[in-house]
Amino acid sequence: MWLFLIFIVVASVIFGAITTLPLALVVILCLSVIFKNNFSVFALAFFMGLYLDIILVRTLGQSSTFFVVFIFLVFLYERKFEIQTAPFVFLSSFFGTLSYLFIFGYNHVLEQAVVSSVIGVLLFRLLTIAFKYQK
Amino acid sequence: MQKKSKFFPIFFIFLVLSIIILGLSLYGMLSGTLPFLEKTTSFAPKTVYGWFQNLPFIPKDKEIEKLKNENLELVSKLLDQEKLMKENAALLSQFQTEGLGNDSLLPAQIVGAPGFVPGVTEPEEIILNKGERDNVRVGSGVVFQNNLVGKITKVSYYLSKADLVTNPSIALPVQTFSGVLGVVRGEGEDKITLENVLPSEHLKIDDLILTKGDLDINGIGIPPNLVVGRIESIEKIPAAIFQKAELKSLLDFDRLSVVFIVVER
Repeated sequence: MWLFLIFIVVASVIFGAITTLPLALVVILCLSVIFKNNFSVFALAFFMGLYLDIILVRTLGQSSTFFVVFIFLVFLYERKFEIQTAPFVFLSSFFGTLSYLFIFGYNHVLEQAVVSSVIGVLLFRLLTIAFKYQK
Repeated sequence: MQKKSKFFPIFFIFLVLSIIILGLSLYGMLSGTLPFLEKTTSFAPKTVYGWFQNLPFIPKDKEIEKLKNENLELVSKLLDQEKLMKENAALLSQFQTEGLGNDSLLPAQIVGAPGFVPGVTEPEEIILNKGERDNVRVGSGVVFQNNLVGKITKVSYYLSKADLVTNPSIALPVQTFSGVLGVVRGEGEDKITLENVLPSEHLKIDDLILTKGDLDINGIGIPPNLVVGRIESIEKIPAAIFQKAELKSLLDFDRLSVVFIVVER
């Protein structure tokens, strides 16, 4: 299970080289929704952000700041509402991707947000099934 | 409830760390550690991008590729001929012009070119495997076979980022073969616009648009007489102050793997 998760994390970061889709954001969101360990999720967001900034030659700290704040907002929402649902994952992927692409100046913002949301929901379903199977 | 309260301190720690790193990076205080981080992490995207370019399901129509390459060679010969004619005229009038020597071009491999749908949508920026260590500077032109690819906008120790000529951040002075002056701007989504052309000037479809040149005293910048694109359509409104044209670059940016950076001689 951990190997599978590591693979997903590594793959999403590496694919920063060929697509502008923020797959790292979607992966962090899905893991934050499923995992109970806050420290791991924030640490993952922080380090994945740093890695993306290095390979995309951005100012170091930009992506990690965004990801950490995004996860904070997700956890804030969890205080009031249930987040382990597909609609939540869809909407948060959508708005997270929209903000990320807008802030970093990419094109095709709306299309990429929709695609990221679909990928997010699929990944969320996959992870929940995998966790249920493991139990 | 225990989970709900516990994340605030963790969030603040990582937020403060991120902001500190951002601040240090903006003020250039991480120039010691960044090269090491780049060196250890850059192999992964380079490898992935290389694999991706050779994937069998990304169709490459060989006949079209061959025609495109022949087209690039012919355009290059046309430019050389034009340059020779100008040099001849300059020699006759006792002036000298200098071209771009091979010693000022640094080959660089593309290690990342994120696009929305890889292989379908065109990227607007590329990551190159040359950086400060190789004398690359912000503002340096990036070329391929007498065609302008873009301009370096960010440099780190081992890597650099170039905005392609289709990127909205690009605006540069250009001219046609017949000397019509204008300004080219990237519009994103693989579009380039030629603007600020006087209505009295004559533009034709398929005209080649060349850079006017924007080199500094050290030879850094965009060299002259590089092909930016070919005119695809012209917009000439009688009441408008200027006429416009849409251009298309002769290069397939997502097929490029090696480009050349203009460096200091």
